[in-house]
Amino acid sequence: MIVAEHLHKRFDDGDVAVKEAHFDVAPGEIFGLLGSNGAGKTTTVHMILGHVEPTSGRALVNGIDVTKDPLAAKRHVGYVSENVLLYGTLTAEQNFRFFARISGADVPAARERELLAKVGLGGAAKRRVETFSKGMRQRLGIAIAVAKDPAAIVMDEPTTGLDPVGARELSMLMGELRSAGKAILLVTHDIYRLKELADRIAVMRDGELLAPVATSAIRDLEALYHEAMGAPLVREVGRVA
Amino acid sequence: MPNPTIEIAKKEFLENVLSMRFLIALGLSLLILTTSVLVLAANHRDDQGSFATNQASMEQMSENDFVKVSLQISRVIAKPNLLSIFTGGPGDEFRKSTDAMPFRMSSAETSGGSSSPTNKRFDPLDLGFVAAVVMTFMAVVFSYDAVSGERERGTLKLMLANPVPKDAVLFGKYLGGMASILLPFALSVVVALAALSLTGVRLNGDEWGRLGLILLLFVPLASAFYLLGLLVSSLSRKSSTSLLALTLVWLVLVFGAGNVAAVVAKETVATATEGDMQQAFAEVNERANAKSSSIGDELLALYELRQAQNGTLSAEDEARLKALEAAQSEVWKSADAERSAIVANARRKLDNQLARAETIASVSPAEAFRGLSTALARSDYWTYKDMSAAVEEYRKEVEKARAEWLADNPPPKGVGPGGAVAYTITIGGPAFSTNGPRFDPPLFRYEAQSVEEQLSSPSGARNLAVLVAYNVLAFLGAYAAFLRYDVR
Repeated sequence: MIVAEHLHKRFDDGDVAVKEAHFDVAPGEIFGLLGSNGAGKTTTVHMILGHVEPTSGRALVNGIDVTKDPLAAKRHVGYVSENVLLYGTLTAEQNFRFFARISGADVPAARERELLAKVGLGGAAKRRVETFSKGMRQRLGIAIAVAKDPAAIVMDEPTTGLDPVGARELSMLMGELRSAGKAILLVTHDIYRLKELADRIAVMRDGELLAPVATSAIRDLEALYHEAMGAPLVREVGRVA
Repeated sequence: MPNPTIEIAKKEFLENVLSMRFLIALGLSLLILTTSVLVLAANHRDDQGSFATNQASMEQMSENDFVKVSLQISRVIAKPNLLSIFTGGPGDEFRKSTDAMPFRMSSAETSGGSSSPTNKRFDPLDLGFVAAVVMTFMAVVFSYDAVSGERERGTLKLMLANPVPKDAVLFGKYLGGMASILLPFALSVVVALAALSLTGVRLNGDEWGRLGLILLLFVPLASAFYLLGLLVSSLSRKSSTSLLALTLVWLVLVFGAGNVAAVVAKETVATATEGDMQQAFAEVNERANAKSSSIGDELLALYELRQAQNGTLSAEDEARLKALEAAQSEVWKSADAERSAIVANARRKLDNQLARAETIASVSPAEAFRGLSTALARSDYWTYKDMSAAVEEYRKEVEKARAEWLADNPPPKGVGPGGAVAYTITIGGPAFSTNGPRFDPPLFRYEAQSVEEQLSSPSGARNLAVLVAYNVLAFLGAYAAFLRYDVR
């Protein structure tokens, strides 16, 4: 599972990106972090991944303090980032194997085939990634993230730029991962995706995390969106729909 | 558990090898190296032809492996240098054929133009060019986006979301990147050597050893540029910025340093021009002629008196005649010494100019490599100087041996005044009479500087230190920059 304990980040230039963010993601849960660009979502993610050291507070993955023992913590977390290009000259399976091996996982060939097939890339395993669509790359990114069988998965804007079909496929994969007991932190500004997938949603605005609410308890989606983005939902409808 | 450094190195190598830039690097180095080796081998064959012709006309005086010198009293023809095919240098111009007369400079030495040692030091296109120019640029091309490119593609944060220490990423990238640079270079060298062997050129053991060392020195050279690339890439957020900055650094180090060094050295250390030399010689000749003609007038009067007195002179006049003859000879000896001093001084200035240029230029690892590789190939100016000094010593030795031989074998009477001047001896050739005694001069022996001596000489040690320093400093810089690198 993922725990953020009063995570706080002040950068060298004095900018406070995250203010005392406090939340946890349980196994088998999709936790949605909603906010506009610059709200502090990505900095929070990077603190959980050990890319950025918190000024105060701490992040735990599977009970391991990310700052104190980053390498051990990283064994338990998979990461799917926004629009990752991967290594274009390498094939899907070469990319998969590389990331699997540096994660410390020894993935047998059968498991590799199974995972690639599961994300719909069974027939494209030997194709160069530079020939892939954005959706195919994101799906490969998910296969890579789960290769080490992590307890937690962090997804940072995974559906950005995907067409509706690609986004739908990705959503289904996320649902399957939740069913498999993974703790999933889903960071996005796509409120429809969150409404559909997340068990709980927390709004992040100007570095502050508002109290998470259960998705089932959300009555006024438009108000929540307005709160998170500082703009009416109607502006986004045309793009999301 | 797989070692992340090795995994990253393998990935880096595979990614590079499958890229278009690798094919371009391979194609370029193959093309330039193979054609240059073939062209330079053809030139070498021509040089050898001339050498053989010259040797046929002059008896060979040395069994030395490196310098097969044949000489008449003053002319030296050196055996063409096979290693110049791989890395030529300014010394080659001088070694082909040179005068060992201490009071004469070659036109290359006095031209001050494109064939001057200072200019020749910085130009030829050969293996040295491929290594110092083409492959160092390839090192830049392979490294400029090693870090910033991973960030742009989002793979750096993906990589570091795994249990991989940052230094493993840097080491892995370094190992994989270096393998990607060394592979096309090694393939090109193998193909070029295969092409060379088809032309019938064979290297001996010493030449193989020296060529091997030159190739080995390419590793720290390529490494210096690759690490500089890693450093700049680790300081840049964008690959385009990194490429621009590195191209600038590369241009300064590969071309700028040498050219600036040559200009600074030429501006700060003046050398004698052909005109300066002619004027200095003319002054010496004028003084010597004036002295000689005043002595000559008196000598002529005494010769005429002796003729008028049926070949006899009073004891006083006889003593005066001898004194005048000695003074006359002294005038020309002294003029020779003056001319030698003028040339020695001019050569010293020329050497100082080149030495200063090389010292300044060695701020660049590419120039440090060129300095070391031309020294190892013995195509540098200093090897020529070393050989030239040995030939001059040899000339003195021959003169001394000839004088001793003449004392033991006085010339037949009536051959000429003083006798000895009648012996215009071609060393190794027939003496005065084919039936008479024969002068056997000492053999020319020359031991070129060994590899150890070259590498431990002040310039060799400095160049090695420059290569090592670039590697150490660039690595530490890249390491520090990458540890602080914001992967987001």
